[in-house]
Amino acid sequence: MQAQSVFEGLCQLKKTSSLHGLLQKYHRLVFSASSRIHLCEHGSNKTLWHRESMHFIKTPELSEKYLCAYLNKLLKSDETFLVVKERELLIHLSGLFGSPMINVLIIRHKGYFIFIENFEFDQLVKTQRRHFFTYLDFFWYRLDQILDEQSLYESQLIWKKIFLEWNDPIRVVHADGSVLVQNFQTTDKRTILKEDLKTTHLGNGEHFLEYSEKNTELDKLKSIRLIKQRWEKLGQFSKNLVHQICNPLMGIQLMLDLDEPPEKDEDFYLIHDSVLRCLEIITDFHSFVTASSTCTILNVDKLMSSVQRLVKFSKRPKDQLIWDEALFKTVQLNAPLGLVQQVLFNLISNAFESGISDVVVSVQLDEQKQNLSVVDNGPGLPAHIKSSLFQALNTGKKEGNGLGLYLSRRIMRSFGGDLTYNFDSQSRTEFKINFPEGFLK
Amino acid sequence: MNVIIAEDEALIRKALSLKFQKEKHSVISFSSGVGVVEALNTNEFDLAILDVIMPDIGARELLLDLDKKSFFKKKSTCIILMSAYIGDWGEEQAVMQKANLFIPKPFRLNEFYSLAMKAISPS
Repeated sequence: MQAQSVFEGLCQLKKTSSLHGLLQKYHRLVFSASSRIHLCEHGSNKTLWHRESMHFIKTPELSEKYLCAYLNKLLKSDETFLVVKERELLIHLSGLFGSPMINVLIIRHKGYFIFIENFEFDQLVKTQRRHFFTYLDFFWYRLDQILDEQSLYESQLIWKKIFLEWNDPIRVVHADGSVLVQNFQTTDKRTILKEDLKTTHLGNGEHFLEYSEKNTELDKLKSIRLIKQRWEKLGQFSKNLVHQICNPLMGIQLMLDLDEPPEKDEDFYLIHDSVLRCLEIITDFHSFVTASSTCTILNVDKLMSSVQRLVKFSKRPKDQLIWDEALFKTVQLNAPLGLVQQVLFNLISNAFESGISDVVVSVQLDEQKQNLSVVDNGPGLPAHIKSSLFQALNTGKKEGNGLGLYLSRRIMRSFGGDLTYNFDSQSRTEFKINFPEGFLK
Repeated sequence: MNVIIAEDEALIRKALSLKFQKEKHSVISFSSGVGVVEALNTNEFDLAILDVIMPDIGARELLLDLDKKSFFKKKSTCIILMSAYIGDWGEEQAVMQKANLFIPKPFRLNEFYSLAMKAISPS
């Protein structure tokens, strides 16, 4: 099936004067129990997986009012369609469970119209509405997340990405109360026993069955969202706090600067040094929490000193962060300082918190590669962690949130770099922070 | 040299004032942005040191106001902005708003003084 725009689709509708005519020619979309949108041959249950049948049109090209009027005129009264405003899908759908089929569904979201032909609920959705709503929530969240990734705008890849990640299994309830769980994409099947199921009565004799499964995709995404929100609030709070502390401290430092050099007064220098040290810590912390994307030039030795101060609370007295100070003084970093600090902090504090005593940072500079390598003397990562190392919520620590490596890689990629793990190394853990050309020289 | 300082943190304001006075410059200081535009327009200053974030009126608003009143066409006062809020505000934005220099906090007094002198007479 060729991908077509909403306008092309509407032209087709006009030609055939009936949506049924169009459906004879094309295929139909089924919104399944697991909220997976897929395309079936008309009158058959055979899934064709033509996911390109949903199209985007930017708001200015097609107004909602125009579309409503056009479709109202075009379609027969016994055919149902709806146009929903931003994020109003849930409200509209809640009144529509009695309808077996909606012919056209148009969702407006973030300046796009998403056009889905012959939108249909099957029986399972109707009986498991709570499950369905949960997945709609997931759907909006994913859509928000993916539309935020600018490079995917204008592209139907957005849909492909949603579908690829939308792999929660379909549940079929058996007469004996057990549930067959089938994953459409992997054809993985398993049965959940009745004892493991929790029943929620919805009234009218309907009930909804669910079973608890740790770390489902939905739970993961919700957790990430919550953690991110908390971090953002904490970051904003810290930033203000740093500003408030920095000013009076700096006032003291400047007043001391004014009197320098005084008579040989040991106390004066003790106070002066303490104030300077406090300011240094606050400056590091400020750059860390601000995580500005503005590039700063400084030598890598200074960067490492600032990271050393930041990881101080993660390490035990005997733990060591090692780097070649003389060499690092000759290497210039021209990159977003706060972001690089965050990545180094995550890697180094991860190592110390896992009980590792020595972490060595080295630099590699040649024409092809400019990177900082973070190596520790530990036993290496366990296999189950390695397999999904940069995935969110994957942690080997008891109290870890599993976002450190996931965010660190995202941070590096945000300015053209990368974070990689050396899988060839059997006995130790080695991460490489790769910089784009010219960032490290 | 005539210097005007607008800084809400009392100790920083005092230290900067004392430093410039010690170097034989004449200094007038403000604890907020209120009255600074008027002072700049009615007097001749060689150097203005402005904090970016102050109660009532910050340096950004001051510069916009000065620009509206064609200050930069009439006078050649060297303007230095300073702030602890690096990241949100930097050299690029400062220059775009017609300031001569942006100095992030924290800084050392002598370092600030020599940067200010260089900004006034770059040669």
